[in-house]
Amino acid sequence: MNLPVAVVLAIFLPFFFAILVPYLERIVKHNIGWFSALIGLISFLLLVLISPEIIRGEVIHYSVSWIPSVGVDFGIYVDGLSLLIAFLASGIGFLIMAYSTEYMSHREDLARYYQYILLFMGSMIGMVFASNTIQLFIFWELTSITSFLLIGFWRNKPQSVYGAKKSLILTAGFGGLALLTGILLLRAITGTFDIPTILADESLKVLIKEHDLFLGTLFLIFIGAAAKSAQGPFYIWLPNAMEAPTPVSAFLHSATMVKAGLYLIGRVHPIFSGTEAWLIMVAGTGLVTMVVAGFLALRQTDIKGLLAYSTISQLAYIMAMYGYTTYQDPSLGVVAATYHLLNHATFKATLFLIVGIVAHEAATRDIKKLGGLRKEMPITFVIATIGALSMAGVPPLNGFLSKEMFYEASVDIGASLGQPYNLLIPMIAVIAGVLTFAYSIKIIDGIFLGKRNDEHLPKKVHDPSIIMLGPAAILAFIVVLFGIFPSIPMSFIIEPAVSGIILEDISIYASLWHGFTVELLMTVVTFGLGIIIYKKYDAIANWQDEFNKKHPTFSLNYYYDEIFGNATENAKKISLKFQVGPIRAYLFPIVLIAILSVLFPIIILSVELTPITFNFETPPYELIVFILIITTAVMAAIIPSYLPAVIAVSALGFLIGIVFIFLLAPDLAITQILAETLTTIIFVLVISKVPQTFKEKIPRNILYRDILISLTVASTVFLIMLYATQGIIEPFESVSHYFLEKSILLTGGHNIVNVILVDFRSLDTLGEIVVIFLAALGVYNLLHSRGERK
Amino acid sequence: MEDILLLAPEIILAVTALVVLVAGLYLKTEHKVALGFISVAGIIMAIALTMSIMLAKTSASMFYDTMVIDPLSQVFKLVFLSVALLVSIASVKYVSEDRNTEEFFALLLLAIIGMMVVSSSNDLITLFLGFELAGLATYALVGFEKKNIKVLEASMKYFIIGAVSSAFLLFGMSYVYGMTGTTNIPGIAANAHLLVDNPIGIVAIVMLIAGFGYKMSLVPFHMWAPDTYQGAPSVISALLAGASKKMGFIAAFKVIIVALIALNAEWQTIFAVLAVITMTLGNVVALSQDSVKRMLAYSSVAQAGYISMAFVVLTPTALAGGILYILSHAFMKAGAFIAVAIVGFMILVGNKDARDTDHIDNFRGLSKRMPITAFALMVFLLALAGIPATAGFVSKFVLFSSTIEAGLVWLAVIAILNSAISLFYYARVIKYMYFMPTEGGRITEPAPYAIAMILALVAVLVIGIWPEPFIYWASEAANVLLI
Amino acid sequence: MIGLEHYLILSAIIFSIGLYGLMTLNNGIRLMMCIELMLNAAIINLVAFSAYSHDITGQVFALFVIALAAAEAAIGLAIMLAIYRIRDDIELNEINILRW
Repeated sequence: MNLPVAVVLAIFLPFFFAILVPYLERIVKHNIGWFSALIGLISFLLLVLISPEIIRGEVIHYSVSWIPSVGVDFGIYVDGLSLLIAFLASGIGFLIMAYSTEYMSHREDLARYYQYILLFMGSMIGMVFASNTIQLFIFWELTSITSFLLIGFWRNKPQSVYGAKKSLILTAGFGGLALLTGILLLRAITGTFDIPTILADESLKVLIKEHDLFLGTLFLIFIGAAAKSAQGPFYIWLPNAMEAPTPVSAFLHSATMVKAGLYLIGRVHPIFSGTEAWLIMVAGTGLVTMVVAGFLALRQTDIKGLLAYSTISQLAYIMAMYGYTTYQDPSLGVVAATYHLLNHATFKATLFLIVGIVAHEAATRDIKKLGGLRKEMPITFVIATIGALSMAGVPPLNGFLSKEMFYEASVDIGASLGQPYNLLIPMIAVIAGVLTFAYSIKIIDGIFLGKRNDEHLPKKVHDPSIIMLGPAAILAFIVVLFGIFPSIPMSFIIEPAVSGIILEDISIYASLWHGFTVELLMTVVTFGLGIIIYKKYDAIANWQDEFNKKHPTFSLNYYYDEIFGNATENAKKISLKFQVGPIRAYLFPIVLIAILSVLFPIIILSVELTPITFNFETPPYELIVFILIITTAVMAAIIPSYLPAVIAVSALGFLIGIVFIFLLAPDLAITQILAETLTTIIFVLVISKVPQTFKEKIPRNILYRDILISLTVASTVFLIMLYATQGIIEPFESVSHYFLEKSILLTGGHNIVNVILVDFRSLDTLGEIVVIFLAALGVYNLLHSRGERK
Repeated sequence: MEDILLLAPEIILAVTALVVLVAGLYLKTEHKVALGFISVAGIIMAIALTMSIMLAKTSASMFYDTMVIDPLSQVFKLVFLSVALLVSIASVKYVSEDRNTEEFFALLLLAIIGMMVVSSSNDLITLFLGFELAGLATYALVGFEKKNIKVLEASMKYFIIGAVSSAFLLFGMSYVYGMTGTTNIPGIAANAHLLVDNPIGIVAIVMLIAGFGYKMSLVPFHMWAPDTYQGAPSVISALLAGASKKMGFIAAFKVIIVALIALNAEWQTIFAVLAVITMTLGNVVALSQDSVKRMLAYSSVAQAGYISMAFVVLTPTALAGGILYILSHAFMKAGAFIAVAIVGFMILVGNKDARDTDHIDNFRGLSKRMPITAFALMVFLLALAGIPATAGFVSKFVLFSSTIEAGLVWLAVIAILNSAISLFYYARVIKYMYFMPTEGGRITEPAPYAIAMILALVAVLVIGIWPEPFIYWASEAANVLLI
Repeated sequence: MIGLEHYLILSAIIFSIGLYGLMTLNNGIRLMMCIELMLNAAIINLVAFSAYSHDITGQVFALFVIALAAAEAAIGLAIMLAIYRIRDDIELNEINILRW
């Protein structure tokens, strides 16, 4: 098969069948889960098909033009790194869907469940194979949205709706849009959205690093990645996302979706790494997050909550290691990070599946209510122990080796940074390791060891069927296999993936036993301290609870709820000030802004308002008309009963007609007088139907205030215009010499107007007629209600 | 005579309006559904003709240079006609039991003619005439349910602000005419320096901005919009948000840009601030709304803020982005309002005297009661938020990336932050529709509503997935402006 | 000899009075009157510019506006009347259902 076709199929088969799922569900009923799992398996096998090419060190790059006018193509770019994540997405997706056939009750809305999972799987595979940043962003947001839908799957639980919304706001909203901005900035610098182009072009990378926008671009892209991978302050969405069905948590929120951020960090690694900003941002965030999240994990009593915090902490390991690669040996951190990414996906998914099994069988996830289940659930116990010990970093499991590599990389970076980092960074690493060890042990101890908690547990608890155990067992087997024979994942998965990041071929040697080294010493210290911390486990958890009660504001969730939880109320407070209702309040800002925006440029233009000298030697009859006009205008605006006010308005209209005669436009004057008569008749007709006075009862103080404001406004407008009209006189003054000539010209103009109306402006005249017609229609419609009159 | 043919779409609409009016006199109320079909047929013919004129890339100037035919005018005509098509299809149901059906459709068609005249106008007189034609028709349309005080209040507020703005606009135009000595728009452009160098010109420009800004619902000229959109019948809100608002933009594109290009950099800042305030205020206030129509209205204010970024950036790509945004927004918003109309219909089926049919509580569990409407409304809302694979994303993308390329990174960042805020209130409606339980049973959407909504849905998705031709035409239109 | 600026100032005064009316008063019919004032101010401007610059366009514009103003007044008053039929008053600030 053509390889690009296989890739495209792997992306779009899940999408295609996701659309079909609701219809298929009517045929195959609750077996829809097996059907969906099959799609996952097909995608996985398609990827297997292309993997030899990638292992050989090739990349698949293929693109078609999509929106050429803005330089966006639709393309696929497959290298080791993207293939690794795609394998996780399809492989674990298959296992999860198989597991779900038993886990999800048949009463649930299964079609919707599998539809969302398939959509997510397709988006995730599409995201990693995207060859340009816009396409990547599109699939990126799709994974956030499907995650939102899956977290909120149990719609009746307010908690799950809360969690869903939180994840959407932080990952799709903040993170996604920050990423988009970053992508746009990157495009502004490089002029392309195409990822391989940027990766391949050394001069572009130099350009980026020297550009003014470098820091902003890196920061925004990093925010996107951190929000998705629950790093730094964005970690708060992940614990709430645990309201999703457990298989979903295993799939999205430990194995795949949260890895998207790390994938992005790996993808942009060649572009941004090697700078101090990269080290501080990526490694710094990782180091802080791993300790804080590891510490907070101790307090959790819900095992899923504990696993959520542990996921945050473990992702922070990977983040930190990708950040390390600044100086001496860039490949060291990248290899460790990539390896840990793979390992974490396996052991954490195992643990989540175990939690699902335990919750399913024992009907609780509260670690205080569980205990002593080892005899009743022996197989589950063994699998769980493998997963937890691997997370704790115990040999010979895969977690051990990646933790060793993490320590090695930490020592290495510390050494290259010099004092005081040569001690600080390894110490932070060990502290994180100790915390991890403690809570890993807690999982085994809390569920399976100790005394059986008869009070809270059902009478009979037993291992589940093979359908639920199988996927967990397969993952546990991989954990052991990769631990004992590290060269298998190294040569088939990690090497291609790492060479996708550092962009050169690499050969990695790894074995379980690598001699007595500093790392081994650190591991021993970790185990020792871990056991000590574990003894104090409950004391620490209690202290955290106490502290939290005393200082409720010392928490990011508190601020999130303050800002977003009360967003509606807060917004109401703001909007109350802007939207009051009465129409007059609406007019006020319009006028005010108009005035201000006029004043502003005048000030900017630094023109002086100079007193104006008038030529008052005007013929008195014109002056009389002017004064009359102003008087009638004032009367129209203030007379308290209708009829005199209407008379004033029409008088004004007629006087303006006279003005037109001054201006030698007699035909206009006639029109004005006719139209004014019509308007007056309309006004009189209307006021004959309504009360005869304006009935304006305004409190005295408000009245004075209003009058004051209005007078100010009106006089300001007047002054501005007075000033403004100064400018107009200049260009036309020269024209006034020709006044006589012009009047002669205009005398002939009576006909000109008519000619213009029917010929030159015929279309406008037609429009005018339409307007009048339309006004008649509108009035008719508004007033005449055929037979509906009261 | 060839000139006349270029106006065939307008002529067809006018003839349709007359036919509808006259036929309405002879039809019984129960047969008046036919009038809706006649209008729809007329609009479809007008769309076909407009498209053929556009695709032929005809450029012409008519009636002594008072009207022009170019890609810009044709693109906008298509926007208006498409919205008119959606609205009139939906209205077949909305006015099905009304005696005054013929007046409704005639007014609708006349309003569209007015908007088309504005988009083709090349002269202030023609432009003002079209503006008033559309304005007067929509005032009457908003007040169509004359027994409902809410509708009348909406109509009154719309009218008053509209009339005041017309007065501002006209006063501004009178100064423009005085300063440049012509009402011809290219003539004004040629004399733009006269306008800009003089304080009276500044006064004129501010008044024009106020006059157009009210149609565009830019802050602080936006206040009528929430009240009117909420109070008006939903299909008319769709018309106002989808078409009437865009008329403000095409007028501003034609007139204000001419002045802006000549103006200095401080003005660019003023417009940027205006855009930022508009989008932020719209988004923040939208957060608190419990009425979905009111929320959509504020979202519409916010979108106006995004679109007006095109005035700030003023590069060909940015203008193309603005025009593309206008096109997308027409479909997204009109579709959303039609979906709200369907929900209103559903509520009224359950309870004849129900009030506030657009309250968010009525959207509880809509995915169970009306899955198609719920899905379509979700897509419209996500599109408005700018989620990928929808028209909203593509247009935001083009607009924002052009802003960044022009070096206005801060403006783009604020706009993107605003998009994040907007996601919050759109998600709230989706939450109500998909995550909240409900008691009511399944209800089938009336066919006309459903057809209109699905047409809008298809448009939103097609622009989102295959935007290339739309971007092409938006760029063609933008090129007209910047020559 | 009376100059162009006199007409412009006259129109500015009328426009300002119209604005003043808009902002203090809250009765529908009064509002209509104030809008009339503002439109009339614009018309004076148009005709004055037209006369002082030998250009007929302004007069034509004014002619259109005069008719448009009448149409606008008709529609506006019709809306007010329709409200009055339901509410028995046209005090604008009391018509205030639409908020929040």
